[in-house]
Amino acid sequence: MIYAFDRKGWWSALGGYRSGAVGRPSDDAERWYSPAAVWGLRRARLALRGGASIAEAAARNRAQFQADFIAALDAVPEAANAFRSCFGADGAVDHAAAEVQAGEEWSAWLKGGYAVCLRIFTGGTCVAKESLAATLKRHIADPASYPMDAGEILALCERLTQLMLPFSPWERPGCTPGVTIDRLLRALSLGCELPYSAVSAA
Amino acid sequence: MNDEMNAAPDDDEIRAYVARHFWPIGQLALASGAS
Repeated sequence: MIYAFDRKGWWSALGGYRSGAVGRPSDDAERWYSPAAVWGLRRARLALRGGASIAEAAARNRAQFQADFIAALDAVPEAANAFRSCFGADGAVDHAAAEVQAGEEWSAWLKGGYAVCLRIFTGGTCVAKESLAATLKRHIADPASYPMDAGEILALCERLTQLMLPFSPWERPGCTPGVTIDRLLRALSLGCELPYSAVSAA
Repeated sequence: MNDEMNAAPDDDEIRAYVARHFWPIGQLALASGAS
């Protein structure tokens, strides 16, 4: 569950109630879930068809995430910008450290930490999103020590946009899409993303 | 990004956003093929 609405108001997995009250939504709350979860459900269905229990299907999803996560650390060129602890001094992936990190990211997903961020949650999208965002933020923080030309910036923004949900209009400016993609497109005079235009027109 | 996007949302704005991007459990079940 990522959002809920009940007599106390809106609840989100990330923010709790808007009022700041701690707690879970009431039993009769309206609840919404991340569509990013549907692919995990489909994989679980295949596992159940093959004779797995629900617990075994869930464990396989976690194991698949971990394997994909570690493979992505090797495949995504910018991965060390977000997951430095997963790489040894020789630059190779440290598998023991990567397994620990994968466990932390899986836990964050289960708690809703990626549900407003990613269109689909896999080890690959998790590593790519974190790595691209960290790279762009590193450049923004100190362009002199981490220079990127306009073409490189645009390419990374394009890759990041493919991965992410738009965020809400009131949260986007302060979250990853706002502080990276929107900020950099504006700085380069390359237009802007308009994820809410369809909502406004409705 | 204009200033309106930083304004505090009302319940209808939140509902429009949530309903557009997130699913009730029935929709999730339907999409995953659960009976």
